Amino acid sequence: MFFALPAVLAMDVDEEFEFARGLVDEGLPDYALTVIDRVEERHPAVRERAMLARAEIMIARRRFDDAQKMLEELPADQPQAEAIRLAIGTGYARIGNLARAREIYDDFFERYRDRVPEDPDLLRVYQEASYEYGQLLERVGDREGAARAYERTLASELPDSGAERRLMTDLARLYLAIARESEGDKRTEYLDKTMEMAEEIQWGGQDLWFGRSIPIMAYVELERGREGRARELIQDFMDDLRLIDRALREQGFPRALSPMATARFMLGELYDKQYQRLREEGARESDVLRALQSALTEYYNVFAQYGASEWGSAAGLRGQELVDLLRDEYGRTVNVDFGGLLDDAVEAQFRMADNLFRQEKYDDAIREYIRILNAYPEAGPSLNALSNVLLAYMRNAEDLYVRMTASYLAERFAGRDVVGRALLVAANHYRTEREDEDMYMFLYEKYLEGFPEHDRAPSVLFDLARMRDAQGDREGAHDFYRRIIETYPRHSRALQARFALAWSYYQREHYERAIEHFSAFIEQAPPGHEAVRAQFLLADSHQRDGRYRDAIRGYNRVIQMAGDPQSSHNARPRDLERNRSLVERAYFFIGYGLARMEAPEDQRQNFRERAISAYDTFLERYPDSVLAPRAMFDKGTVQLGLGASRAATDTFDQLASRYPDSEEGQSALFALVTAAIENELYDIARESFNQMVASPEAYTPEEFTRVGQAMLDAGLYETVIPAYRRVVDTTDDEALLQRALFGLGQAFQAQGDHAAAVTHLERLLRDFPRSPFFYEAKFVKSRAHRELEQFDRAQEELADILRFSRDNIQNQKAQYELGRLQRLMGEDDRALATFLRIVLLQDPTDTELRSLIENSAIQAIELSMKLERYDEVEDICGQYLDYFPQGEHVEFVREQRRIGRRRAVEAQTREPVAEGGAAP
Amino acid sequence: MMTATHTWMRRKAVWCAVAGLVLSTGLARAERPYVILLDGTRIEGTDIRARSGGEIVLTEPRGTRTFMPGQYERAYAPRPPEFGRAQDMVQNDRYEEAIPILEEIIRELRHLEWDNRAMDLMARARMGMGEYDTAVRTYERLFQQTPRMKENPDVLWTYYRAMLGAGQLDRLETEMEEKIKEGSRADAGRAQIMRGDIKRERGLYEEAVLDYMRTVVFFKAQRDIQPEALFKTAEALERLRDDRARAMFERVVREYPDSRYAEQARRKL
Repeated sequence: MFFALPAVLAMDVDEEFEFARGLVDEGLPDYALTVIDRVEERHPAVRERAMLARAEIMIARRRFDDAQKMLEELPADQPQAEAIRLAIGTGYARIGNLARAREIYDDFFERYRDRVPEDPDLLRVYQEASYEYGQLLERVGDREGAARAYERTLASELPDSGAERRLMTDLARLYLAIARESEGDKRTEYLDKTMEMAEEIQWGGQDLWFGRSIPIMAYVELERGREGRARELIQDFMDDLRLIDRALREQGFPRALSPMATARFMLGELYDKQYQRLREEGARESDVLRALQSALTEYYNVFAQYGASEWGSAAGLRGQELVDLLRDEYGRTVNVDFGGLLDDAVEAQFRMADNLFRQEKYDDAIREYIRILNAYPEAGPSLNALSNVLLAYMRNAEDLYVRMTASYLAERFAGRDVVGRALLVAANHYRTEREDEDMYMFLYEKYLEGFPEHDRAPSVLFDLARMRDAQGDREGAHDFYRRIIETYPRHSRALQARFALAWSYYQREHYERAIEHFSAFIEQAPPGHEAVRAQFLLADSHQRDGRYRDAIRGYNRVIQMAGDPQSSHNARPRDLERNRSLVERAYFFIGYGLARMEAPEDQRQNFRERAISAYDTFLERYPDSVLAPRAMFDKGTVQLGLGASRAATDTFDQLASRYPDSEEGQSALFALVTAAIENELYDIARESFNQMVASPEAYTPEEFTRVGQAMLDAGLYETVIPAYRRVVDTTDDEALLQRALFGLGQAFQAQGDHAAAVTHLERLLRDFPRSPFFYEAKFVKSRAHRELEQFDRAQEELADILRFSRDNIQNQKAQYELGRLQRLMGEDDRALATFLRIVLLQDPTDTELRSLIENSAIQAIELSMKLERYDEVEDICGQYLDYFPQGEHVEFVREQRRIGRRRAVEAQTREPVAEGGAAP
Repeated sequence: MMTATHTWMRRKAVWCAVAGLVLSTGLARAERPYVILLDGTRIEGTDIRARSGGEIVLTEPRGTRTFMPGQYERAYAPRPPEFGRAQDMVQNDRYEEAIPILEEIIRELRHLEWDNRAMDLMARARMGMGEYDTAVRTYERLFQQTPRMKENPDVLWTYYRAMLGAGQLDRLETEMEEKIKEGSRADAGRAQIMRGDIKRERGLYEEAVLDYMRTVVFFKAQRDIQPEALFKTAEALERLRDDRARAMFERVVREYPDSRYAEQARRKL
């Protein structure tokens, strides 16, 4: 028993698997997978069968590795495992990888030499495989092996009598071929087997295969030397053959399938032989001509009516020879044209080259192809041959010839499907196996140049874009995406390219471009998660660009699109699931945007109240969302901003009680403090902070540090000190300690307690000599020493900075501080030199130094005036006015320059000069 | 033993029968009214009327005969020329002009077969005008009045298309499920396509593809519906911006070049 399912359900399941296979055959493997998923969901007991079906789909898509992985998940002796293994072999056979296919087949059929599988799935695959195995063996010339494979297939009782009879006919044909190659008893044996098989076919009914068996029997007679009997056989059955031929035509079957083709070709051959014999015997010309003309009639009929059959080209070629013979030797002109079906004849000529190619004998194949191509350079089958020549050169790594052939193909045969595909195969080979970018880009560009209308062209461009992305070449990727959008605007890849572009810009924070492309995408996208996601990202781009109004509109649109589970954007279950998350976030960000949106004063209250309401809506809908604590925090912050402190406090209390495990919830009071500082409500911040200090065990050193930093940034120094003191007293964490010690130094310094500042900074620098606060601490300590009039120590701190720092900005700041210190110490000359070094040596166009240079110039002017160095005054003032024409000290500088000039003149003449003029 | 007299009488009967046949054939070309009785007997006349209660009065050469409801299977008046005009109008999209003519035929030829045909044609005209709800109601009135019309596949499937256009998807889906399970092969194949159309109306394009493809895969012998199934698959794929749509349209053109769907597919290409 192979199923635990009732018979009716078993039939349903069988039909579904058959449907899945049908979908794969129709080129829709992804839909096949959907069907299989559903079957497995409804009937979990068929898991192994579903796995087999999936594996067959993977194989049909040439994803052999994926099929192999599935195989490894099953026990080796499971019938479905055997079936998958065999199906992989068949897959390889179908793509021409004969060696790999044979390896799998040989192993399997050795194990199943004397038995037929019972499991129905394995049996089905076994039957397909044994037939393919036979075909493979025929191709490599092992006819007897092929015959055994077909016999095995027949013995397994095929479910379809048509397939069975077809196989019997193939087998009969194969027996005949073996007989022809053999001698003696073996030949007789196989001729007999051929005849037996043909008779068995005939007993089965009058159909296409019945018709095919007749020429087979005639050939047997011919092989037995009974030419007359062969001809009689065909003529005796001619009426039956006509009936079958007509029936096939009426049912719309191609003429190439008709057994009449074989029969008449055979008659042609028999007349041909007769003609040759009569000619050799020197018979009467009329008899010779009659035979020749009879042969020509048969050949012509085969060629004209059954040209696409396996005999068509041979009939055409021989027929043309007979026409030429009639004309040249007998002076008879026959009005018959074989040229119309040239393609079939040419294709037949390429067959040997094709076989060499399949056997991977590339040098021989190339030689054979080129020989025939020189005769038929542009016949229909020549394109396939040329494509194979390209691939043969590729396999031989003859890159120059690959380039040459590709260029020729793309130019001469632009737009021809088979050529386009060959270029893609070659390009793919160079990309995946040889990793030769030069070659594969050359081939891809040839392909895109010559085959812009090819169905794979947009996908190729898309793959190239993705490749560039992976290489980090964004601009290169963008070029390809744009090409797809411009050249194939209606193709699905254009839509994907549009999204990829939008996403790329979004990631690089080029929000305007992101918005442009997301908008275009949304206009064209079909309903589903991708459209909703794009809409969300569009809104998000607006938000990140500070355009809250547009962002809110965008988020509302997300809710409209996917808020209703019945919406067409939620049609697929996985879309519904993914869209839920986006809708949730949209609700959150509406509140977020309203809380931050710029608004005129008279509307601000309204927007903020709407923000609160939006957050309430969000919290009501998604109380367990990961964003809920944040929403509540934001709500409290907005309430604070509106002056509703009591409401804000309630909100923060709720935050702490509802979300105790969240970061915001764990430190609600801390959250209140931070929110108050954000809103410049310092009284509330201080009050809340005092509550923190009153229950210090409830808060971590990190939180105290963060509050301290926030207080420091807001200038609330008196509050900072207890915060940082708490940290210093309670933690061993070096990072926190350093921040706290530095914070204390800054706070004491700002409050004027310079000694305390020095104490804490000394501890920092002593305990943490490599602290990231080293330079900043040195600056603050220098100022503190300066205030304490400990000028030498102040200078030492600055000297340390100058000694160790590699940062020019830092160094110039230290120089400036040094200049000021020197000035305080009365060392005017040295101070002037220090300031002049800044003014003269630094770049005033550097925005980070500009202000420093300007201030240094002012200091230098003042010192120069004091030191009566009026030339210096003139120079520095001139420089200042050049570099800072709009500077805030312009008037002062002009005044100093004027005074400087006057004093310079006075100094020369030793007489005072009136204001506004020079000395007389 | 056959006597000479008997032979002659048989021959005469044969000739009469032949003459009658010729006569009846000649008169049939001029469309004579007739009544078909429950046993299948056909009685022809020269004139026919119906009373509102369904009584049929047939005028024969010998006089008039009245058939009560329940005594006859069907009564048939000659084809009114107005019906042909109305048909032309509908074919040329002149629906509003056709409607009053058809309404008159329905009134005047009640119980005489042409009311049924006029109702069918009127429903199609309504569909042409986009009035699917009205079309559905017209068909339902027709089926109530003449249940056998529901057995006409052409009429029945047009009714289903009206239901589709009217958005009566749930009802239609129930009918299609039944046909898929228990209908003939031809009906099951068409029902599969119609179910795909229902899914498409609901915006469920991928589901629609699956239904259309069931027809393609399992109903290959029903060649007359294959082009429609393939074409609609292609349309659904196109709607999903799936590139395989093009190959599917090409297949319709290649495999069914003479079908009306091939014409539509060519335009897509």
